[in-house]
Amino acid sequence: MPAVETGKTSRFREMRRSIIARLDKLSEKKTIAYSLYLSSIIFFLGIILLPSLLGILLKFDTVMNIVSDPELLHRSLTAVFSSIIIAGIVSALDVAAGLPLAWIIARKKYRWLSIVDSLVDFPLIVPTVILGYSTLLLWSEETPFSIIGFNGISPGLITVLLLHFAFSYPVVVRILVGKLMDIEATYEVAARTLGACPFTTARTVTIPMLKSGIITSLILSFARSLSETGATIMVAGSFENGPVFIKKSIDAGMVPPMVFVSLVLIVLSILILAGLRLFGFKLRIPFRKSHRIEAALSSEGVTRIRDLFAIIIFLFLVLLPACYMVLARINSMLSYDLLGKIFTLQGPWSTYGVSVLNSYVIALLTTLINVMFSLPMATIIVRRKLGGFVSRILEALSNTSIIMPSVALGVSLSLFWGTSGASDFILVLLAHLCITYPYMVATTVSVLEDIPVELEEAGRTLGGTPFTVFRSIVLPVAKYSFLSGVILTFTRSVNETGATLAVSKTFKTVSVLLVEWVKSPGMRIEAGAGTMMLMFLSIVLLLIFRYIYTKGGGALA
Amino acid sequence: MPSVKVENVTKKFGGFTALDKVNINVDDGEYVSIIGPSGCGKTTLLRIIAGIIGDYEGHVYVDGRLFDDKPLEERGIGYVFQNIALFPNMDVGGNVSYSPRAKGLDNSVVRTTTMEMLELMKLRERYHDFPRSLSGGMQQKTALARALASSARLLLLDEPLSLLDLKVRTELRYELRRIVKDLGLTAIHVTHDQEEAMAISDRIIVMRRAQIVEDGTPVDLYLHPKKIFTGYFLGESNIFEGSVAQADEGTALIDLGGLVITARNTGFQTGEKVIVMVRPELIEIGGNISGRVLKKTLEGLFSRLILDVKGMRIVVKQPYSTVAELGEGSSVSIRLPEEHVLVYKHPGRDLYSEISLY
Ligand SMILES: Nc1ncnc2c1ncn2[C@@H]1O[C@H](COP(=O)(O)OP(=O)(O)OP(=O)(O)O)[C@@H](O)[C@H]1O
Ligand SMILES: [Mg+2]
Repeated sequence: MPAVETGKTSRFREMRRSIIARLDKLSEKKTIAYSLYLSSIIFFLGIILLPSLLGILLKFDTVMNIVSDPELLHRSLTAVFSSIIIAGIVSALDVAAGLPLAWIIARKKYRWLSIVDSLVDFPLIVPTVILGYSTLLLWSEETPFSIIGFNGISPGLITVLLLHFAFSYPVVVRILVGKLMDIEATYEVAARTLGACPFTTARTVTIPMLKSGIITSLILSFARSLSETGATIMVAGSFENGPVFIKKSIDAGMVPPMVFVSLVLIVLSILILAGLRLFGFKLRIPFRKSHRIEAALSSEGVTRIRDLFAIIIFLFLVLLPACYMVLARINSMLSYDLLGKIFTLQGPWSTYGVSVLNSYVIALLTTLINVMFSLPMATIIVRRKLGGFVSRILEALSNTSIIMPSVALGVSLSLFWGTSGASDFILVLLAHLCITYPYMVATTVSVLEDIPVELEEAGRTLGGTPFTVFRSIVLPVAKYSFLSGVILTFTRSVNETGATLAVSKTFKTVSVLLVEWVKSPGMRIEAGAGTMMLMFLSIVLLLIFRYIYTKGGGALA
Repeated sequence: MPSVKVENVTKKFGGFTALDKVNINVDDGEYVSIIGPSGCGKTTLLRIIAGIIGDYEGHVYVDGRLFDDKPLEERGIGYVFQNIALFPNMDVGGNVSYSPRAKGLDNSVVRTTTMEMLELMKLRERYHDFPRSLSGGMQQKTALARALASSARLLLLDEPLSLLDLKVRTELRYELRRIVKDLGLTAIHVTHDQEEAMAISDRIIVMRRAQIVEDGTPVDLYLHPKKIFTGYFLGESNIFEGSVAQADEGTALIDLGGLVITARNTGFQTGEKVIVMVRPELIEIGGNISGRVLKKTLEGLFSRLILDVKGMRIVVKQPYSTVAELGEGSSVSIRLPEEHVLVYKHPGRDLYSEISLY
C-alpha cells in the first residue's frame, strides 16, 4: 500500500513541478506580463467598476430633482454627514481597540492565543444581517444585562455604532495581525537594547512600520461602514444614515436619493481616503520624550490591564453580538433535536445543505479569481507600472464597490447584468467578485508596499523568473498579510446578502437563506441553529486552510 | 563598570543544542573577541547576554548581579546586530539618536552625542539618508554609531566590521578599541576575521559546536594553543600525525612518517601516537630538512611556499625578500625550531573529526 501512496504523491509532485516550470517560462516574457496587467485592468473596469457605478450613471440626471428640493437636499446631506461621521468614529475606534488585540495575538506566546486568533474570524462569517439582528437582541430587545440593571437602549445612533464597530473590528484585527506577523521582531529587539521600553518601542518603531497596515484597515472599515445597509436598517430605529435613507426612498419608489446620496458618498469618501493615503504616509509620530509616562505604561501591571481591556472589548462588543442570537436560542435549540434534523437533511435543512454548498463554491471561486486579478493590479499600483498618476487613480477607484451603499450597488448590478441572460450562478459570482475585490486589492497593495524592491531584484539576479520570485520570495515574506486578504475575501463572500439578493431571487447562498429565516417569525430557531452550524463549518474550514497554508511555507507549492 | 559572567549556560532550540554548558568570564574594561566557525553559537551567546533570548539553563551575571530576569532595555548594553537592523523608518540621524531620545535626554545632549558619533564614523553628510540608500558598510557604521550613542558600558558587537572594505575595517578596529579603552567600556566582539580578533582584543575566546574550546591572549593562542582545533582555526598551521620515536629528558624525536623532527618533550613516552603542529611563519629557511618548492604565492609582504618534503606537504611563510630567489621547482632546506614544534596527545579518533569545523 505505501508504495502506491508514494507513486501517487510523486506523480502529483511531478505534475506540480511541470506546471510551475511552464508558468516560469511564461512569466519571463514581457508580453505576458503586460497582457496580465492589461487583463487585470480590463477585469477591474468591466467586472468591478462599471457594473457598480452603472445604476448611478444611467440615472445621473435625477440628481437635479434632489438639488432643487431643499427639504430632500437637507435630508440627504444630513444622512451623508451621519454616514461619514459614523464611519470615521467606527474606523478610528476599531483601530484603537483592534491594535492591542492584534498585538497580543501576534507577539505573545500563549497556547490559547491560536483560539482567540480563530475566534476573531467568527463575526466575519456571520451574515451581517444576522449580526444586526443579534445586536438588536443583545443591546436592546432581549438584553441579558438586565440582571445588572441595564434595560437596553432603544434602536438608534448608538446601536448603529455598536453594530458597525462589531462588523469592522475583525477586518481590522485580521489585517493588523497579518502585518505584525510579517514584521521582523529584530527591530523591536534593537530598540529595546537601545533603552526604549516596550511602549516607546511600539510607538517609535513598530507602529510606524505598521503604517500601511493601519491605513489599509482604516480604509476598509471606513468603506464598509459607509456602505452596509441590511443590518443597519435593522438597528437604526428612526435614525438615518446614507444607506438607510436610500433604502427607505427606494422602498417608497424614489430613485433620485439613491443616485444623489451614492454619488456624494463616493466622491467624499474617495477624497477622504485619498487624503488618508497621502497624509497618512507622510504623518510622522513625533518623538516626544515622556520617558516616565511611557515606562509606566510599559509596566507589567499596565500591560496586563490593557491586554485584559482589549480582550473584554473583543468578547463583549464583538464576539458576544456575533453569537448572541445563537446563545439566546440555545435552550430551544437543544430541545429541537438539531443534529438529528440537520444531518438527515429534513424539511428546510435540505435547502440549507444546498445553500451552504452554493456559498462555499461561490466563495472559493470568488477568492481564486480575485487573487488572480488583484495581484497584477496591486503590482501596477505599488510599482507604478503605468505611472504614478494612473496608479493613484486606480487605487482610489478600486475601493468604489465597497464604498457604494450596498442597496445602490445591488441596483447597479442588477441593471448591468440583469438583461445579460447569464445564469443566476454566474450573476451571483459576478456580484461577489465586485464586493470582495477591494479586500484583496487593498491587502495585496499593503503587502507589496512593505516589500523592498531590492528583495525582488535579488531574486531576479539569482535567476528567478518573475513568477518564481513571487512564489518563493514575495509570498513567503508577506505570508500572513496575504493570508488575511484571503480570509477576508472568503468570509465576506460567505456573509454577503445585499448584492446577492439584488442579482438573483432564486439562487440562495446560505446567508440569504438565513436572513430569510430570521425575518420569518416561525423560523427563528432554525435561523439560530443554521447560523451556529455555519459558524462551525466555516471555522473548521478556515482552520484547515490556515494549517495547509502555514505548513506549506505560504507558497502553497 | 561591567564585568560579565556566563555560568553554565545551555540553550536548546527544540532538539538542537545551540549552546552547551558555556562558561565565560569577561573582566571589567576588557576587550574580548569570540571566534568560531559559522553556526557554533556565537550570536546565540551574545543574544543571551543581551537578554534577547530567554528560556535557557544557567545564569548570566553582569557586575556580579544576576541578570537572567532583567528586561533588556534596562541592561545598558550596546548591541550591534549581525543583520544590522537599522530602523527602516528613520534616517541615519534618527537611528543614531534613537537611544538618547528614547531615554528622554535633553535635546542638547541628544544632539551633541549624535553628532559626535556621526563624526567618529564619518557619517555627517549622511544624516538625512535612509538606511535603504546606504551602502552595506555605511549601514554597519551607522549601526555602530547607534550602539555607541546609547552610552552603554557594555558593548556586544556581532561582526560589526564585516561589511567594510579592508582599509576602513583596519582603521575602524583600532578606533573601536581606542573608544572602548578611553571610555573604560567592556566589549565582547564576535568576528570571523582572526586577524581582526588578534589585533583588537585583550583576549580571544574560541568556540566550536556550541562549546568553548579555549581562551587566552592572542599571542598565547597563536603560539601555544592548548587545543589542536585552536591552532587549526586561528591562523594557518601545518598539522601532522606522528609517533614518538624516542623520548628523552627535555627533548623528543618524533617520526612523521619518514621525516624525524625534534621537539620539546612535555611528558610523552616512546611509541606514543601524537599530533604535531607548526606555524608556517615559524619555519626557518636553511637547515637540515630538504625539500622542493611546489607552489609559491604572494600574501602581502610574505611569500607562501608549499614544499614537498619526503612526500609530505609543508607550508612555509617567509618575508618576501628572504625567499625572493626561490621559484617553483627549486630545492630548499628548512628548519623546524624545536621550541615552535607543538606536540599534542593523539585524540584517538581520526584527526579530521578533531579539527572539522562543524
Ligand atoms: N531561533 C532559532 N531557532 C532554531 N535554531 C536556531 C535559532 N537561532 C539559532 N539557531 C541555531 O543555533 C546555531 C547557532 O546559531 P548562531 O546564530 O548562534 O551561530 P553563529 O555562531 O552566530 O554563526 P555565524 O557565524 O554564521 O553568525 C545554528 O545552528 C542556528 O541554526
Ligand atoms: Mg552569528
